[in-house]
Amino acid sequence: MNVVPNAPEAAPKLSPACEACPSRRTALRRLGVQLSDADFVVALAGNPNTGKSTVFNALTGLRQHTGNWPGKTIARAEGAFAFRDKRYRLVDLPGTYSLLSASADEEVTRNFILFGRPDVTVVVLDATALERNLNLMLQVLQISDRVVVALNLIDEARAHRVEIDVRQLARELGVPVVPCAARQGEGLPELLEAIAQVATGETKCRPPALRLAMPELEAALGTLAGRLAETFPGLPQREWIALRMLAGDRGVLAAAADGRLAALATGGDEALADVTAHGREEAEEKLTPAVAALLADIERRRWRLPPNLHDTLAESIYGQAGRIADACVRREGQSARLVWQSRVDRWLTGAWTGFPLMLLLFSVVLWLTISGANVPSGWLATLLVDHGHTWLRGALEAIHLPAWGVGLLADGVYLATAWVVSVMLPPMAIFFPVFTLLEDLGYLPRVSFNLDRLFQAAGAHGKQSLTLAMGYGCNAAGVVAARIIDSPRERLIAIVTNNFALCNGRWPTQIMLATVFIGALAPQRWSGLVAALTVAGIMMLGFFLSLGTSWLLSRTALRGEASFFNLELPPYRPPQVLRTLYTSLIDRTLFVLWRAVVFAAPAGAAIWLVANVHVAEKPIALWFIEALDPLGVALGLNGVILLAYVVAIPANEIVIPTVLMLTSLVTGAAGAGVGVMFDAEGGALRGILEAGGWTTLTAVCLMLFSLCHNPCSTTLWTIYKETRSAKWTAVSALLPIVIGMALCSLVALVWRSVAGG
Amino acid sequence: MAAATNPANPAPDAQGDDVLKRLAEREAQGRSDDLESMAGTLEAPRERLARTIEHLARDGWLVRGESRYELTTTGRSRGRHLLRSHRLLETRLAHETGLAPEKWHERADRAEHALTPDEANALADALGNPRFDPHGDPIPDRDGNFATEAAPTLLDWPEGKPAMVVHLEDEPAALYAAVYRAGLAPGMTLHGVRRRDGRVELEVDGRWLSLSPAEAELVHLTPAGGSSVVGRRRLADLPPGATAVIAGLSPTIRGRARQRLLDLGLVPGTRIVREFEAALRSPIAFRVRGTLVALRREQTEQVLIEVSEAKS
Repeated sequence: MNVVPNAPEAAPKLSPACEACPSRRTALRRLGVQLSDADFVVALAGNPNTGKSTVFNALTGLRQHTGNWPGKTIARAEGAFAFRDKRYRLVDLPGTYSLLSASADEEVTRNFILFGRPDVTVVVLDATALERNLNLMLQVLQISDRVVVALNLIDEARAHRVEIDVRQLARELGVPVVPCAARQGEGLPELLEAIAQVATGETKCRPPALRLAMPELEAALGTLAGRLAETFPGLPQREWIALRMLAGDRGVLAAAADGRLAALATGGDEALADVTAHGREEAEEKLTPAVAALLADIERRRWRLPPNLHDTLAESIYGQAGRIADACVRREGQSARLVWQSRVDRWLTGAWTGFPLMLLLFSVVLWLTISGANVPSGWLATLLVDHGHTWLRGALEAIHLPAWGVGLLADGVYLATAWVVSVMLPPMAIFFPVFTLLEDLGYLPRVSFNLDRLFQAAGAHGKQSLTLAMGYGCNAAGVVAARIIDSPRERLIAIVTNNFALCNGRWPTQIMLATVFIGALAPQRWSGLVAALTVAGIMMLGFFLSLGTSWLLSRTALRGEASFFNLELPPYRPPQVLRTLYTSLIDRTLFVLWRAVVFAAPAGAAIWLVANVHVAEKPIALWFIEALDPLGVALGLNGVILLAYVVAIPANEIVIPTVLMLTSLVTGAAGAGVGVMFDAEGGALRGILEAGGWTTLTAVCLMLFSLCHNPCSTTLWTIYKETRSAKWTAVSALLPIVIGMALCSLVALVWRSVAGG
Repeated sequence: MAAATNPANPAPDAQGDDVLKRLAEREAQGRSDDLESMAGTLEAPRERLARTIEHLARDGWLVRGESRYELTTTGRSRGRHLLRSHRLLETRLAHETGLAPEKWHERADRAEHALTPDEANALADALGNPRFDPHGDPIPDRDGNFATEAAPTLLDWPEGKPAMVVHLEDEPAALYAAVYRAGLAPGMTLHGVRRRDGRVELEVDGRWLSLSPAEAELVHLTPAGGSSVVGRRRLADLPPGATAVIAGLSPTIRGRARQRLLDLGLVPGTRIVREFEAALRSPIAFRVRGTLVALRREQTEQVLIEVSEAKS
């Protein structure tokens, strides 16, 4: 039996409430990251954007980020769960369309399933696009015969009036098939049951053979499989391994040379999966004469294969997928949902409507963030800064701490942290959930679709707009997200230019300056709108700077046209508003906030120290500020701001608190109005800054400089890890600074000559 | 330096390498070069070339016969290694960079000398061990073996006979660039070859091309089997909302780009519907196997479709 019924065992008498409780029925215990002592290893594979991460989260209780665009799961994630007294280690593999291309992702997936020998491989299929998903499915069945199919998004398929004959599908594939809707938790108990049965060997899988319509290949495959059996007695999946060897698959050929195939044949353990390319030199010594002869034989045979081997192979696998899909899928006429979705698509990508709607949508998100954040920021400031600070000072003095100790802890560490929390938390708590909702809906790939032509002209990839969008949250995340771009050149461009996406650490700076200086220029009822438009303008400028630098890079250091492109447009899915709010608050908002606090606390101490430790009758800070002032003024800024940027290299979030503290120091108004920045009209804040010599020009230049300066140290470190190149890390750091300085001094020059001051 | 180098003899200079590479290729074709023809193909002054060859002979890379040169074992192995490196490098440039095709040769020529056999093997592994380079030339395998045969050129091809492009000569670079831009690549089938006003005309996948005799001489052909070439169109020509069946991908889509399109289900026999295009007219969204896939306008020129029976 392939579809497992709901309540498999007769349970002792319990109260009805207990019996109905899902936790009892499934006996699932989510173990998060407690990976030790697993009885079974379960791998999770599937096409990109089929809900793999959702299944992973549902089983382990972890919160991998999910979203409606392909390629989010970029690293291998692991979690654990227990079911009926057995512990399972669950490995979430990167989403892949196939195992034939030997890209990095596919190699990770393939090697784990083939050499890692998981006890069960769960393949997550998208029920709305079964035929396409079966391509990967059929390939997985060639390298493992312990497979369970999670036919996910079955609710979506129903909504699209697609009906799938689950029993027939299970018969065709020879493995258990469990229909589920992981987002709603539907089908998960049955999935667990199926996993357990395959893991314990209760259910035996009988996958079909791959039918290749390639007579010229069949003979070579047969002979080679025979030779493999001689060289590695007991080797499973010989036909497939022979096929990959003939196709020149480096991973499989290397596995023959370094002894992994031999280990696989004798039932080697999973530690073998970790033999990487680094260990290869050592392993090459294990190359026996028999294996060397086999490899030489393969090299010779390859010359006799048809030149378009890969095409024919893909064609025959898809042919089989098509036949299975035809036998199992029934479409009930035209789906109303599909019609509705393509109508939406025509609006969102239309020649006259695409761009206006996109701008409108992003403006609404910005406006919600800016105007919505004001009030809670004020509350937090009153609570943390006004009351909290006074209370803490009092408490510290009460325990007779020396004055410098009170100053360091209360005026330095605490105040900087409190500022960061009250300035950052509200905009993030609004921006991230709203943005995540757009992501869940499936709108972001449409943005890439609309903008690709521009990116193409700049020699880049349309998916760069997705990485930029991630960058609005955090540039380090944006840099990592660039992995969704397959081609190396365009990926590098996306990494280097990501800094022009205004990250959330810089949002508060922009919002505050726009509100206090630019918005205040307009009549009061319009000031909120003007501020929002100003920030939107800065964002647009960042977008075009990213395009411009991409163009520059592809004309100079990274010469060439965009090498290749592909973009999938997933169907729109109704977002799960409550879950989205919850997870985006926990995962993104609190995560980023925590990072900011970690950096703000020591920076607060540093600021207090430079402001209060005197060298030759002057605080250290003043020495720096005076030295930096001429350069600062030339850039339309001042020495205080430049010093703040030096202090803020670890995190952009603390620029404004630093600027305020240092300005108070310079103007001698230290401690006078610590709560000023949350004053609704910003009048008092403006007062302090103007006393420090600020003009509208200073604000404009600071907004520009905040957009164009070096990425924070976390982002730089991430760039180094992703590119493995000190040169490109340096370019990523210097390019924005050079542009920022040029832009600021130009604006200052023009402004001053026009204003005559 | 390299395993292919005998430690006793110093490594040849760049021109010496070029000579070894050239001789290795000619040898595999069962031919050889004299000083005259080599000076022509390598575009080098005769005296300088003669001196280089003298050094090569002195260092044991080749021996001089009566009117021709013969490679020694070490010379042959270095020559084949250089051929392998050159063709692998060209393949990498074609697969992974957006560099213009006429630049591939020059770049590969510069980089090939520094590649060790181990590095060449690693490069081959990373590329999935390709057997042919983007010009259709066979890449010598790890042991230096490769098969090559001279094919007739388009200039001598009989009118009307269907043919498949097996090889595009990549020198002179300017002519090659012109042929490439006309849209020809190894693996393409062409038919309707005819001569008009001193030029060669031919049809490739629903497009008529016209080449000068000098350009036509770069195109090497082999007879094409089957009749599948007739009646093909390009996806770009499919009107909005219309449906077609994919006939195949053009050979000009290479490497990972090709594999990815195949993975997405753009394989022969697949129904494809043109849905809508982006606000800036490219990319265009197509429905394939129940999913929406976006392709850039240039890519739609490289996807071939069957003209449906409902054509009339």
